[in-house]
Amino acid sequence: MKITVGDVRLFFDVDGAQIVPTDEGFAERPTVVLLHAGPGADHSLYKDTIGPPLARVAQVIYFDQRGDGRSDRSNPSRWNLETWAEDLRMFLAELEIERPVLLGTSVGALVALEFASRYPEQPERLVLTSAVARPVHARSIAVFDRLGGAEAGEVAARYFGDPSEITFAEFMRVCVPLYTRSGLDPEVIARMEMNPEATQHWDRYETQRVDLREEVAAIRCPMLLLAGEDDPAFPVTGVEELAGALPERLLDFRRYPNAGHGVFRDAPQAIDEVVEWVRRGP
Amino acid sequence: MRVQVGDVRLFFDVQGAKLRPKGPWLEERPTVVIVHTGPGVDHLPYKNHVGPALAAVAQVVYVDLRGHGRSDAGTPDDWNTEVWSSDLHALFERLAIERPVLLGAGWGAYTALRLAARWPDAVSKLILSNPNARFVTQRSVAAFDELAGPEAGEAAFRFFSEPTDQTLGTYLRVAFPYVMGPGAATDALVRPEWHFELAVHWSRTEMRTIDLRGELGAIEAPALVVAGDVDPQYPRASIEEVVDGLQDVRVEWYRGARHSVWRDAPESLALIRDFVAAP
Repeated sequence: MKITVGDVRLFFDVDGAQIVPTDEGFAERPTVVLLHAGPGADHSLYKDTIGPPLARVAQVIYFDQRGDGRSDRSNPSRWNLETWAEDLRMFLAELEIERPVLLGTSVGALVALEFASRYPEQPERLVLTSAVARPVHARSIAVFDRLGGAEAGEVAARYFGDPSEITFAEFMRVCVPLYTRSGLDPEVIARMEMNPEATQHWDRYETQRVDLREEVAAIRCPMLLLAGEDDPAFPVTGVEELAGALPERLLDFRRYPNAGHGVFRDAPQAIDEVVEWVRRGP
Repeated sequence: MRVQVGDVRLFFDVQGAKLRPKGPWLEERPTVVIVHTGPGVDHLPYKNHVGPALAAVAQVVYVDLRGHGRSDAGTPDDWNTEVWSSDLHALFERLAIERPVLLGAGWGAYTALRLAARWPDAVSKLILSNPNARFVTQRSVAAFDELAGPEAGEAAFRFFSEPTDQTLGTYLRVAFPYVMGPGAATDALVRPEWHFELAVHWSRTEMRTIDLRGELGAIEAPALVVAGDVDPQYPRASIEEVVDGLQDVRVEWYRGARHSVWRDAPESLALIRDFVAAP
């Protein structure tokens, strides 16, 4: 399905009913909105990991951010956290989704943080996977170096120093396979409708100015923060920095050894933990 | 979820993803939109039987029609199949639901048929359970007499000829159990959110005039009709009028099945599922 939100049409998919039959009648379940990694990736990344198990306990809404997947491309000047958070606000309003659980991975988690900082009363809870308060390329390069040797570190440095089609192609070939420890299934990549221009735009312009360390103090809902200790994209040092900026009493921070970016592919037990956390309620 | 469509907000719920991973692709599955029976009940009963069965092969969209369940009530002037079919068509455009399979059950089949006749391109397939093209009072009263006895026949006659809160109440108590079957009738009364004012209003107005026989020929979508032969509210002769009017139709009769065909004849679910899944 698609819905017009401001100046764009956003693609969304749904799994799991909101109202389900029970022995006593009918019960309303929570709604979980999944914010995908990227930019330049799409919602399909969740369809073989956390999406289907979550649909057993909640209504799951997948959607493609502006610029990504099956949603309108819009233009590069709108590919930023502020716009994505406003898109999310309007999307929720158009569909009358009230007090959802927001689950974001990577840049999707930054959208969730931006949104929850602006509208603290809106989300019921946040699940943040591989989230940082600010992307620091030097930290990433160091982890690529550690995981893939000097060549990986150099390729990452070349790409972050000058994101272009050529350096991105090299980054895709050498560095992206290091995102997960268990090996990245090529079919997962093939299923995405990618927008490499959005990825490069993010790494060239947006990463320089994103810094959520102050604003996230405004968040008022419980948060589950998951970090992979071998994540080269958003290294665990950055996740720790974010954890330090979040209200401590609302935070449940869990680290997974031998797990890379997005956690779920390398540490499937994290999927069960998230499902249980959502099912248990606030 | 609820979305603004024209002057009302319509509630809809969804079961089953539209796109599913299949090797290196996302496989696109059909969308089935369920138009609930009525008048005056909501989509909830479909979550017990036909909805989950179809979610195995399709994305299932449940909708509460205007005036029903969790959707806005609107005004009585708009409680008719002309408006309900327009609402659904507008909902498809609003949510970019392209050429869905439309499932109309009992009273919901009036709206489903009307939509498919007005916008033949907007519907890929039709699934109808106990559809009627018009309501023939004497035919239904005679069926209640025959299948449920004179007391039920009398209650049905009174409600059909003078729909009020009182006659509806008696009808629901005495006659309705024969429409659904006794256990199912209690369920159908207790589980959904009823809107009795709408039920009475529609029975006083459009029920007396509706006649889709002349419109059926405009429908292009292939149709599957699953039919119970002992539903006194939607009698066999009236179902046959629909079958006769459709261009591309397969009908499957289930002996002893009442209003909720898939409840009384669960084997019909496999037939419906295969019809949806077929290319």
